[in-house]
Amino acid sequence: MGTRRLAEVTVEMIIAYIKANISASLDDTSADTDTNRWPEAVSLEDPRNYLIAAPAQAYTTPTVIVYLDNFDYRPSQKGANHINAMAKITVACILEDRDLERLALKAYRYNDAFHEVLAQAEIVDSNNAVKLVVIVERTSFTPEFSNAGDEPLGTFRKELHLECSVEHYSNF
Amino acid sequence: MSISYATVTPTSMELTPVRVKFSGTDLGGTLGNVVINAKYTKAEIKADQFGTLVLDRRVSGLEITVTTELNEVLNKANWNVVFPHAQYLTTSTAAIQFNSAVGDSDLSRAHVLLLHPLSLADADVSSDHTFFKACASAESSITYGPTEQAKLKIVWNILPDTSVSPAKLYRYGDTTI
Repeated sequence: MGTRRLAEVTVEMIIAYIKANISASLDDTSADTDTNRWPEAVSLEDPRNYLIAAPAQAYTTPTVIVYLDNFDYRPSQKGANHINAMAKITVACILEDRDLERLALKAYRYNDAFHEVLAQAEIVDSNNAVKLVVIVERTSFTPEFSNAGDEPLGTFRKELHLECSVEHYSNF
Repeated sequence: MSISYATVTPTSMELTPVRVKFSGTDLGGTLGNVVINAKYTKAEIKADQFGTLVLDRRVSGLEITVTTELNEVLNKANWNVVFPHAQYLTTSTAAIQFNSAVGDSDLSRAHVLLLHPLSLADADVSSDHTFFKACASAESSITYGPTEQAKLKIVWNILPDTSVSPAKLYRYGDTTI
């Protein structure tokens, strides 16, 4: 019986790929001098946590959470003699800032960096047993929110969610 | 569960758009994928003694086409690629004029068409598709509307490059090997 490398391996590979590449991409975005960007300086620090589920406890930001929404094996659609699946994955990044406008800008710029890393990314595992191709379908942004009520000096949070279709090829 | 398994190599699988270069010029954005069709046409070998049974098939020709849609429709140089027999006026804002071009040759308008997978670095030409003499069929529909992006469909017919023997049409892989 062949060992399956499905949900866990897919999520782990995507997290490892983001970890390996997001820092350079954030640097690219920070250094971008496109005059169409707002001139505000926004710090784009590397994510501090990589999770696979929303934590119950407090956590520092930026935090990346990779959710696996579903794993479609497409047997009748593809007729493959191996796993030729489509995983639906959401890559969420939770950001915070004391300034609402700067928080919105930060979310847009993190979105640029994550899209640069993930769009059309081809990821192969260390055993050459699994190959992923990431297709970024859309990004949605949550409204800014705060747990501090109307506290004027509170810290606001905002999340961006990159919804991805991930082609997954592996052996039975 | 399965009782036996195929030897499947996921790293040999591919899913990627390509860059389309014609005569050394990047044609920019495409839509609707890029589709290569290749077909060795064959003649059937039969004998009356075997009735309609096909005893053999012999190659009688080779038909190769490449189809895609160019979406940079404001670039008139792209129109010149789609309609190579039209007159390309490069002065000022440029223009394409459709004149009668009776007798104009496809071969005289043919150039190298190169498809490079975007999953590979520029220097990695191991999976490039090179068509040595490509000329557009010069028929396209251009639709403008409020809800759909305008695009130029293009079908390249691939002609043989007879400057070498045997005449060559298409290579998948590095052309230097």
